[in-house]
Amino acid sequence: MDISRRQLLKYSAAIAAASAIGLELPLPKNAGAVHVEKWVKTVCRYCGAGCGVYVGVDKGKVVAVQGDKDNWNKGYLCIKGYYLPPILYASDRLKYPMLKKGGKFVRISWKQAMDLMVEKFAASIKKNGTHSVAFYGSGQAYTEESYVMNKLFKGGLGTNNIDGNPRLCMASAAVGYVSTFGKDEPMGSYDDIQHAECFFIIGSNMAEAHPVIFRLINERKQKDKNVKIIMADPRKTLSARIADMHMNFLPGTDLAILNAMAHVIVKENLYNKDFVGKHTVFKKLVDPGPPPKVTKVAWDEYVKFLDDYTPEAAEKISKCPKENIIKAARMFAQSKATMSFWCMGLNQRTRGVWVNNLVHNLHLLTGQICRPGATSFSLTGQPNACGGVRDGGLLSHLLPYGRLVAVEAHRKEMEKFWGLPEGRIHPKPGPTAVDIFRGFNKGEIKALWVACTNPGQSLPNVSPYRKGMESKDTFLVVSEAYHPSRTSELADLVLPAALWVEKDGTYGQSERRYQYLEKAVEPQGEAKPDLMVMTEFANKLLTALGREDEAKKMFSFKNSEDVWNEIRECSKGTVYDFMGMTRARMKKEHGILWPAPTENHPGTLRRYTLKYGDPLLKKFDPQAQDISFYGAKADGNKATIWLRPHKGPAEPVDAEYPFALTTGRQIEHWHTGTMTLKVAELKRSAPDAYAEMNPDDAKKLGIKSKDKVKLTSRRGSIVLEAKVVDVPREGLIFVPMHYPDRLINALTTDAYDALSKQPEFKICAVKVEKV
Amino acid sequence: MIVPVVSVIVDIENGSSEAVLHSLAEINNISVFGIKENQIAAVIDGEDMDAVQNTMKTLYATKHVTGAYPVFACGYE
Repeated sequence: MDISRRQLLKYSAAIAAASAIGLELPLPKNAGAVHVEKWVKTVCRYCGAGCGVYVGVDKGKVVAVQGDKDNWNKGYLCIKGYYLPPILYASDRLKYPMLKKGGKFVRISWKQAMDLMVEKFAASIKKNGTHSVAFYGSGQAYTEESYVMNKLFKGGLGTNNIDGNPRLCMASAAVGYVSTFGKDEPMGSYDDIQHAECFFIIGSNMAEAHPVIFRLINERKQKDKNVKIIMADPRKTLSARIADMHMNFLPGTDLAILNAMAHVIVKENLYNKDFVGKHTVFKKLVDPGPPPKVTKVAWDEYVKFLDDYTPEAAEKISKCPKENIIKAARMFAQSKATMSFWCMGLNQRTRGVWVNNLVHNLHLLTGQICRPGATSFSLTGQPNACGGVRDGGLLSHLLPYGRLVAVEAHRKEMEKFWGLPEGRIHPKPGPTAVDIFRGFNKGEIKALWVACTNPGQSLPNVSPYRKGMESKDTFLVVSEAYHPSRTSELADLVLPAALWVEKDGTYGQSERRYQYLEKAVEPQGEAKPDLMVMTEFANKLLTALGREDEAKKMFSFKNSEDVWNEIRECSKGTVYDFMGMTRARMKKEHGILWPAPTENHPGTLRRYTLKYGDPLLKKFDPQAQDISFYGAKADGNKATIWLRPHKGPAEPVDAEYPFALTTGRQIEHWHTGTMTLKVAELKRSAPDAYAEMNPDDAKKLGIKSKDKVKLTSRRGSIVLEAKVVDVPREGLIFVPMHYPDRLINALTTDAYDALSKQPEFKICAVKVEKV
Repeated sequence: MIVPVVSVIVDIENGSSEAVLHSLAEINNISVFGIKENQIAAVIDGEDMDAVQNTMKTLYATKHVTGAYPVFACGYE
């Protein structure tokens, strides 16, 4: 069969699709010759789902992409995934270091750039002390990059002035897991989707934000008619399309709903007495502090606490019909296995940790946990927020692999591991994301390095922080793949960063899956892998501070594998233990879920359960018969059911600002759009931000779709096109967050959760005017 | 970089294959290569990239379609 090139391409594509669903098509002559020299196994650059991807390379360029059907995503990608190659070849890729001189950026050499950075940071440390410098990292940086910067700041410099953008997206989930189970990260895995009979999805538009995980749920529902899906969200998103029940509620009232579900479960005797008795304790906050004071309470006090949250009372608070609350509680408790998913709708809140605790409460009360299909699963926004930042300890209160800067024994452990003098690691947690930029505004932080993230667009209440970043009195370095971004435009020095498959490294993703990303092509121009730049900087800065020997000892890494091997050693003996994840093994396999303590350990689908294969359970709790929440040693290896009262948002609506504004994603774009808005097709498909409003609200204000509307909060205003559609509930305005020319974060609030310090992007009060 | 050929898996509701196949037949640049249970293997063969993207949008909006997921994309200069 002779076929044209186009036919060949088409047939190759058909084979890929057919094989993904288990069909076989006959191979045409020359099939497979799609002008690809080699296929390189890697991982998608976008969200935290961690879809396996192969990139096709031809003549040194990435020319094709296909899903990895041997990975968990079974070869599926979302629309962003299959447009990955163009992000590498955007016209605004930054190819050379650029220095701002007289308000304009001019090209300089790498040597000049590095010398200047070292000089500025060293001078500031010498003059103003070690806490006058800071690093703001990213859940998109590779694990090795985050590790090196953490080691430099906390170990080399003795300052905890280091935080990352996962503080804006995952911190509440992390503190939620730690406060309930003693240690961070979900105990389950995507495999649980294949076993669950009830899915409880709250505060997540999975269909657009995590489409391939959503597909697994959809596939599960299609295969088994007993599967039920409950969607709780103030918007009727695309995700609600497959839901059996949509719980619609006033923004910020979900704490009342979750407590009311617990109320129903207790009153109707649907809770698992045996599980609750064996594996849980009850706690409440008695003084918010700081530091917060917590006390243990008895079951009876918990039951009494729930008396305030009858379905009727919750309906009054939330406007969610009590019948739906009762039905959801029964479905949750009575299914053979219930799996919860949530994302930013819960995390980006001033009560983010509390609402995370309340989801865990439902699982603990009903025993819907630690067995196939029964688990509480936090979705992740960025590809390496879990691996590089949460697990690796890049946040300002953490040390690697579950250790805390505030715990002396943990500091000593890390000082010994890093070969540092005792007392080097500072005992006080450093400033978190928003506070780093507040400190920069005030001039308390004089030199700041921002890498692989875009705070000039993504910070809440962004306008005052943009002014600080632009200040001539401070020094801002930005490592970026593109220039200008809304952050790099404010920088003093911009460093060109190798992007995605232009470098190698490790991602750790939602289900504790660690995956290796192989380098496939050379970086553009003079762009370098951040790891190379960071290691050089660490060596030179410590040398400039008179600690050359220490620099040599700490930062003698030759490549990312050297760093990875140190990271594995650092995880050894902790609950994360991934000594078994050698680089050679990760190159070969399609992701491994920690813990994987030995090289022949296959990885762990479910933690805290002996029956389902947690390899560390007996080590940390030798007496355990099956389930043990061994991260919570102080509570006798029991998880905590929290008494968390309903509290509304920091900025409730009022007569002057009567609408709640929420921000979020569209399927075509990702985060601040630095990558997806460079893909012409995605940009044409979703070219601009809009203000999505409920038809009843629009009618009252005389607004039609495409009318210009002005949204004003207490911090700023923006004019957008209206999109009148029956998606948001009455009183709610939704605006996508991706567009650099539409700084929606000029309106959002920087009020943050007292425990996680995660800002409340999801709710602020606005007024709406037709213009 | 152009990506003129994209294969997709179209997920559909139980018992809707006939209706969906009928709908897909009315879309010019999509070819169906196979169907298994509630999944259709198809290829979008766009004259230009906007056509591919528009077809994806059409797929999302098609009745009984619960999702459309690209699995392979390739192109040439």
